[in-house]
Amino acid sequence: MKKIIFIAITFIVFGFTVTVPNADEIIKKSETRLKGKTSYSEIKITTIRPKYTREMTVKTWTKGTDYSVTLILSPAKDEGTVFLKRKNEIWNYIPSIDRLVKMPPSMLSQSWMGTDIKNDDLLENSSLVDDYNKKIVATEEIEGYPCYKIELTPKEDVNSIWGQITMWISKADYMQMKVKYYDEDKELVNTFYGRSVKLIGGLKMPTENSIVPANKKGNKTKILTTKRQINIEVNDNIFTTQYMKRLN
Amino acid sequence: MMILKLAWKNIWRNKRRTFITLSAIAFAVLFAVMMRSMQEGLEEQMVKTSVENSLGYIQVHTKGYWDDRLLENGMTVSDLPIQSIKDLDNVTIVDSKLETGMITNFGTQSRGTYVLSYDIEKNLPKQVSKKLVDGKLPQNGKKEVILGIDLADYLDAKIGDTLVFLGSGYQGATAVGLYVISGLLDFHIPELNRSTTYMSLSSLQELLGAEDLVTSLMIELEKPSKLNETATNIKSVVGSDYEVMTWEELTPDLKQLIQASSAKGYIMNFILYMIISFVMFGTVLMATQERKYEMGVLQAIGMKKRSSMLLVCIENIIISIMGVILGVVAASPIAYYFYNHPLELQGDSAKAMLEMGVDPIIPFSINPMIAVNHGLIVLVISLVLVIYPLLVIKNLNPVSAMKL
Repeated sequence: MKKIIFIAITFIVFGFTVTVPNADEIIKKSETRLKGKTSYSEIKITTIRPKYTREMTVKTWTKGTDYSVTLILSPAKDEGTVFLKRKNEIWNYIPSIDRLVKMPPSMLSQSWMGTDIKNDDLLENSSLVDDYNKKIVATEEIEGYPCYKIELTPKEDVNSIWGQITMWISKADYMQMKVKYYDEDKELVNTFYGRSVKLIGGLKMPTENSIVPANKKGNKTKILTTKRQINIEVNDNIFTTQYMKRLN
Repeated sequence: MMILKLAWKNIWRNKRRTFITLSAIAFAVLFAVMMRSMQEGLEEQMVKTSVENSLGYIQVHTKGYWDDRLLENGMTVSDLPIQSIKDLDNVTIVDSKLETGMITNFGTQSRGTYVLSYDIEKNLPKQVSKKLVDGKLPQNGKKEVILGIDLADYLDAKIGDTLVFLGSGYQGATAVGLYVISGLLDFHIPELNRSTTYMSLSSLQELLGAEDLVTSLMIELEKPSKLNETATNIKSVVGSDYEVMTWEELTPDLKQLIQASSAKGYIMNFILYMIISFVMFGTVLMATQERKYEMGVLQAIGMKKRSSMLLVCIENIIISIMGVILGVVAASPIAYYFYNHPLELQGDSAKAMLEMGVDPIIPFSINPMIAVNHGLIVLVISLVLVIYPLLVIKNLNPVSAMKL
């Protein structure tokens, strides 16, 4: 009898651990699935402000989390502008004056091209996978998709700009449906919303995303993915400063 | 009338005694006025540097700009009643200002900088030409900039080099341009030397793609003491779409710093007055003891106690007034000298002041109210001290007083 109880208990405990997924695993799967080894996307970014709205279309290539390059296609005034991210550096090529400028560290907290995306966000100095402690706190439904609600807090020795991140990741396909970013005082800074899930480049993902700053009324940045390919062949040269002028 | 004459004669009868009392009072006034003059001078200096370098006494912006300093919260120059503000009493200068943060780059070095507009024709703000240490001011119609020496140093750029300016223009448009360095500025304030760039208003408007745009009006005053009164007048001229802020509202930190410094000054003054009071009391005590015999004689030959008390009182008032006048007269040229030749601080205290954004010099204040106030305080102290000889006379027994 004792043996049976023991087996039953082990089974329950064991069974429990396998049915509850690991938060680390979910984040890791979600990140690798989204970014792949390499990626290419075409994106339309709309910056909404109380007094004006501005549209921008860009092409962007990424390789892992260390390298990315973004080419601006429109508006006409900014056409041909290139941003290159190499590890901790951001470079900016401006065709109208034919100059290459390295972004100074003091400007990292500034907005990127007038959007609600910060230069810091482009750098992604801290890795969601490695630098945060994660905990599943609930399961909630977002946009009709059942999601794990996961709380991420930066590990002690990690220098993160966020004090806490709350992510809603769909149980199926590990899509990031909603993300809330908090500062050190646990005040909400930005909310990311993923909408309109579509199959794009063989990948199911939200294609109409938006970033809404918490404390600025009427401000919003919409990010519409029109084309996306992952794990494609990307020439490494593309992620060098020499190549930036030739990208157009 | 006779007592008055007698008092006057008494004062000059014993010149040495009078001189001692007189000099005690005069030095008291001198020290009190000098000290307060220095404290107020320091406070004025703090306001002046901060106000002159960056703020202006009063600023006008679109409502909400100060909390959210975006170009989109700027103002159109032609909408502003600049002339009406200029016509107001106490307003000397109205300077239209455009400012924004940008990146500046030279070679491989980039740095964030605060770009401010400079009015070439009116040479405003005035301190720009004063702080120019090398080169020339930007010329009209040329794409030229002047910048803080530390910023140029960091970029490793010299006069004649071409800098890239890059940032977000009006309504999110990309602002980018090439500008030649025409001169260097030394504000004596590290923070400003590291971060400030000036270019002409029209150049900056063009760079930001915002013709006719300014972010603030900076207003200089003839009499800074009438700050709030003038601000109220400006408010009624510009209407409710704009915010009118005094420097006290623009930098509450500075206001608090000055209040703290003032409080410290009052404590120091209180201590000084305690010391002064005891010194003055010492001289009064001696003078009184010395004259006990004389008072005894006066009473013995029939002078009423009340009359001799009045006599001492009048003597004291005359000496006090003379002492105060002497003190003020002695203090004025000294204060005036240090007003024109401010004390220059060295070492750590100079550093501390630089970090607060204030020039490390202490010009003395020549506010006449300082002399008046502190002269009166010393006068009151010396009049209070008269109580002692009065009490002595009141309790004087002529017989024992005359026994030596």
